Amino acid sequence: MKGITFYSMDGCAFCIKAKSFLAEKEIQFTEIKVSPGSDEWEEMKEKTGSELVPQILINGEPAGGYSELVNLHSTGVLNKKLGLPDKDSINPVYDVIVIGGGPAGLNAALYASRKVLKTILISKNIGGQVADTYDIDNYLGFSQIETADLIKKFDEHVQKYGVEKHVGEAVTSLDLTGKIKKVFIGDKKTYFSRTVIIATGKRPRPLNVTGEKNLIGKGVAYCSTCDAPLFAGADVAVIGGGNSALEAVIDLDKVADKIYMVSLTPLTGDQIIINKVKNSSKVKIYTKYDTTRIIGDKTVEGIEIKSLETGDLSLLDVEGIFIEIGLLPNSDLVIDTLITNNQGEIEIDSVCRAGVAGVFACGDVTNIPFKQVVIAAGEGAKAALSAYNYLINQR
Amino acid sequence: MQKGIEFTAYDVSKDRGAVKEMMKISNGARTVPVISICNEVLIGFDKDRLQQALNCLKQSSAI
Repeated sequence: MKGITFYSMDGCAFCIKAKSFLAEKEIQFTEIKVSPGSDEWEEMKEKTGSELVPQILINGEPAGGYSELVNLHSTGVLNKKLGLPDKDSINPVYDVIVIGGGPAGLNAALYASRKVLKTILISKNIGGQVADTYDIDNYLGFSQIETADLIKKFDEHVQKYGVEKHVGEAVTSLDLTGKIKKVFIGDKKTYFSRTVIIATGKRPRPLNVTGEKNLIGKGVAYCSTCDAPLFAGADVAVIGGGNSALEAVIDLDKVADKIYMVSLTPLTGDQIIINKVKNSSKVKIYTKYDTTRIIGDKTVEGIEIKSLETGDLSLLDVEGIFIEIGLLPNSDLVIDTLITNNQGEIEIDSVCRAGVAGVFACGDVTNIPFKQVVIAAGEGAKAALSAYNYLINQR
Repeated sequence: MQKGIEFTAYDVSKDRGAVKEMMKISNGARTVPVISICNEVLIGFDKDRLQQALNCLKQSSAI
């Protein structure tokens, strides 16, 4: 007899569980209700040798009860026996899931796959923050390379080892408890893995002022390297007083007409860049000014700034505002489950362990100082080797 | 390219007219990429939305 025959009894909790399990997986079954002593009961006893409900027959063969059913399904045997496609029903369990596609994540995936661990990399993009700069001059072996080329080399190198990738979507939540961790991409997809390496990096810190959120991409920008060319001939403002703000001014100096630099503090970047900025005739610097509002309906039309000394408000007519006031770690996914420092960075030990068995972190999202491509890549390697050590000790 | 879909690319860093055109069709977007497909304009790269928008190409070629 082909298919599932299901012996059940009213009021039996595991019968209900098994039925809803099959219904959820959209697997058809023939239900036979039994009661002790009935003909059906005798039939069940004869075919399964058991007097417990539920009893399940697969193609006429006794297969046990609820837990056996779940087990057969999770190992893929059920679908195979029933001739069903095993596409979505079998969730492979990975050895390593790497979350994040910057240098840390890519190198972690490379090292993990070289240890022949079943590895998948999940990331919104490949390159991470590196993609936001134009070139890199301090990665060993490359005295000067465009970041697009460097990322391509990284990606090709990882690809060589056949790492699976899920790129273009973000992880929405994580379940890190238990031996098998779960990584959720919305309601669409769940990945299972014995270890998780978090390499989610950092993102630009927002100003949190009126007008900022709804004008992102419409004059509000966080990446001068990416977006400066779009402001050719325009008047723009750069917010911040550190190196990244100064570099944004330099990027914009090539294309924009007028650049206002607005900083809460005196300029704090390297003197050599400060001098360069101060020497530009296009730049006007406001230090000890707070940015209080971004003005504009459909696009940015100006900003309001406030003197910290006098409290006076001024309006600057600009078409663009580049916000360069530092970075925030992308640790939101684990902020409740892992220990983070006062900046929100995941605290790790010297071998990238994040305080929960099987969970590792690396790169800019961690408390490791000096946010550099070469350091992030090195940390990624460490995290993967650490995951490998964890896995061999588990077996 | 991976999906074999033809497109016209405008480099807005080199072509100021293209910036103006891009801002016009996207209701003021000053970021890249801006992708125009059939009658829809997508700001930024969102795989799902792009995939959905591309359906109109399939439909129109089927006719």
